[in-house]
Amino acid sequence: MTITDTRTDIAVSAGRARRHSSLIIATTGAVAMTLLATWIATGLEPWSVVRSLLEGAVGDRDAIAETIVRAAPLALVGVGAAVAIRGGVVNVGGDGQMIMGAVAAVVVVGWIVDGDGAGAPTMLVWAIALVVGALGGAAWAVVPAALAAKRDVPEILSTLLVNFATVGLVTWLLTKTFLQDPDPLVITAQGESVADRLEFTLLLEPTRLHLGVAVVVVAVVMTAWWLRTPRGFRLDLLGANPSLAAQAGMSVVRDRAMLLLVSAGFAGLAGVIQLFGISHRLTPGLTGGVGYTGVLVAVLGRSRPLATTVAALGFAMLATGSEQLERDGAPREIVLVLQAVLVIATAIAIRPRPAAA
Amino acid sequence: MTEAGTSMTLELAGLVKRFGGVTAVDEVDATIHRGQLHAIVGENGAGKSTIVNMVAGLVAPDAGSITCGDISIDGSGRRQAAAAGIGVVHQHPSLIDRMTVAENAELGRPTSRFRTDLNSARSAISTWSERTSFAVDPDAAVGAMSIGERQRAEIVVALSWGAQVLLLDEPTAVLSPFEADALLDVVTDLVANGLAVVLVTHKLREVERYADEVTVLRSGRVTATASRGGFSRSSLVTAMVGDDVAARIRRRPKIDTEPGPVRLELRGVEVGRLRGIDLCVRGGEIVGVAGVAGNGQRELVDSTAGLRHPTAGVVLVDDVDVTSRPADAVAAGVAVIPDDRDLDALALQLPVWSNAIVKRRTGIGSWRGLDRSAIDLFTDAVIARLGVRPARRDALVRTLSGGNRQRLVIGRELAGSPSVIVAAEPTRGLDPISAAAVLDALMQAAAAGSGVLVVASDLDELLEISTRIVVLASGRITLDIDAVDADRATIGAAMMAAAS
Repeated sequence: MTITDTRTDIAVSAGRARRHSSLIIATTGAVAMTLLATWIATGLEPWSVVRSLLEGAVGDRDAIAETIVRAAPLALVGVGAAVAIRGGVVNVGGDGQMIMGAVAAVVVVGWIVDGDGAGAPTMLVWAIALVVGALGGAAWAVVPAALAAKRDVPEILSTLLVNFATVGLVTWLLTKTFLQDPDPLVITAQGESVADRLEFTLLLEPTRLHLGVAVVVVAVVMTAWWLRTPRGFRLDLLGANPSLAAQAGMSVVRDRAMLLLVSAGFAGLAGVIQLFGISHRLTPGLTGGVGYTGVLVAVLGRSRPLATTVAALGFAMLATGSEQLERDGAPREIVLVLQAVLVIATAIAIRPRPAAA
Repeated sequence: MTEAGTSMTLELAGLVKRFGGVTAVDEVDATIHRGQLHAIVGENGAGKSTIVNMVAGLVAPDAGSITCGDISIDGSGRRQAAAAGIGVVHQHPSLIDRMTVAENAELGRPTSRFRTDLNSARSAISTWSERTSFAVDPDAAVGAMSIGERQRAEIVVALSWGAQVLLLDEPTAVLSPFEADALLDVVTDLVANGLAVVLVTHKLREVERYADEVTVLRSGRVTATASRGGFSRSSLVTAMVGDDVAARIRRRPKIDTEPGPVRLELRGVEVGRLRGIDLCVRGGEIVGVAGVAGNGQRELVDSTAGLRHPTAGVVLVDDVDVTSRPADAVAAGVAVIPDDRDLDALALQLPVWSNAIVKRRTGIGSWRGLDRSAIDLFTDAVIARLGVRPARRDALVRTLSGGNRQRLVIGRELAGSPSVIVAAEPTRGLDPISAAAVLDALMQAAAAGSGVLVVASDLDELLEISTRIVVLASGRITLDIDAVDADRATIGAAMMAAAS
């Protein structure tokens, strides 16, 4: 039996090395060619493109702070998605769950705080808003979770479709209901701005680095910790082999539904953090697509919380870096192409070892 | 279609295949003549599969040659081998589920035509289906076939391509004894009509009964060759595993303990194909469940583990109701050894230690994290129980061989003296040493007071270890006797007993 094992291992690793090196050459080539194309099309020299990217992302203290602010919600959604993926559940409804978390928070905060901001102590309001946001996000996944549990509807479909419905719903809420901005001059879909004292405290003026980032750090660390406990171990078992998990006494259907709700809760939390930290009011664009990118980040981070956070930082660097690039004169289209190539190149460079046949 | 000469033989000469530093096949010579059934036997890892893959044209030999007729097979693909008149039926069915038999035949046809010609494929299938009496419908979708039907379809497809040499890799591993005998009887007829057949197996009963020639492999080398009448089961075992090991796996004495209290009781269980099963297993008993596959065995195993929800009846373990509740079954000490280990018993991409502790409800850690030293201790015990190799806690299970995977599963399930052990096909696909270790472990567990229920299609094995034999046919128990009084004829009749 050892003969067969060794044989497969050697054959697999030889093939893997061969494929790996050719992929690295291919991706390096792709990046080089994109830089070259940028040079030809816009006259921006490759080294200055790279310099703009780095300057915008990590050039100085303020750039770093901005990158972190961008990474925070992404990491939160990503870690939520990662936990679900480890258990074999793919939640792509993060965008809708984020915004519904924020909507829930605004509604509940509206009850406990009156118009000009008097009422409960700020810390208490924040705490309530965070809890309500997480519950609101989770509530937005109840239907997909129930469909998956009762009717075997793939959650990857249902959560995505719920997103589309959410876009319309939020626009309606922000133009036709009590949630719309009371200012009669405003005709776009947006909510009333939150009371000044409820905005998350800024940690490093003049940057936007806010208290919500600390919430994200705590959430990520706690999740990473939890995954190392026996319960986290069972989560991995559920993802690795549901049939064995059932045999070991886990309730597969219930646990998978729960996972979907938990990851939706992470997204709802991210929505509240964007609300109080960045946008300061409800808008349909509150998420900035983070609900979707979060899943990518989780995949790039191979469903590990810390690696997912690193991937979120990488994505945020790309965003802040390419804004600098645009300011330095590169057309938006080129910037987008460059972003895409870099993401794919990273994905290939860090991709997991292919499973042996 | 290829028309090969009448003197056609398959000749392996000085065949060598190395993988890295390991020589998987070492100077193997064999000649397979027309009109002969040539068995190749050996343990798992003896080099059988490598030889199959080389003859099939999938792997290139490092030295030596394979010739069939006057064509040399050099590893340049399965079409080359097929064109030389070699038909290979691999252990795992390789037909495409979503296509019909005829479409599969046309798709893989070794000789190329400009366009597909389903009609001629269809008629070739029909012809061979009749000649072999395999009743393969050329227009049947492969996905809807049972495993036995697929295998027969594969053989017919290979014959329809004009195979003169048929290579069967462990063809009976997934069949009941009756299906296996029926298959090999047809193969014998084909051989009588001039086909050359290579039968790769480790079931020695088949070799004894059907083989004209036998080649025994151990660690890639030929350790014995013999013709009909020139070998016995024990001489084959010795050649396969060596003298010292052979002595260890001779027939073991049956356990001889008085049955203890009832540990497992099924009362009127109905689910899937099961129709009102009443069954008791006492501590110290090994109850062997015989029957043709698909007569409710799966449901029996699953409902004992609490994994199926019976529409009627209850499952009691030590008088505790565990019906439909896997967690309660685990807590009551039910150990399950499912027949498909990779699918149901192991998480292949996780390491050995993860797989070892999956059924531990406590003692693996707290909110502070996993208790690595306790886990290591437990994992080492699981590994040591049946000797999993490599004995590394962090080895990924997918890198283990089939035998070691089963050792791991059984080591895990037998940990902590289970009340009830349900084992389905516990030795399927294992070499004689692993199989013996597995059966020994089950007998020891019974002797220590567990109630053991074994479901297996290998009747010899059941008769060897069981204290009681139960036959399952059409979801009912048609026979329940003491193993001492059981014989193959009685059991066979009960298997065929129609449900009334």
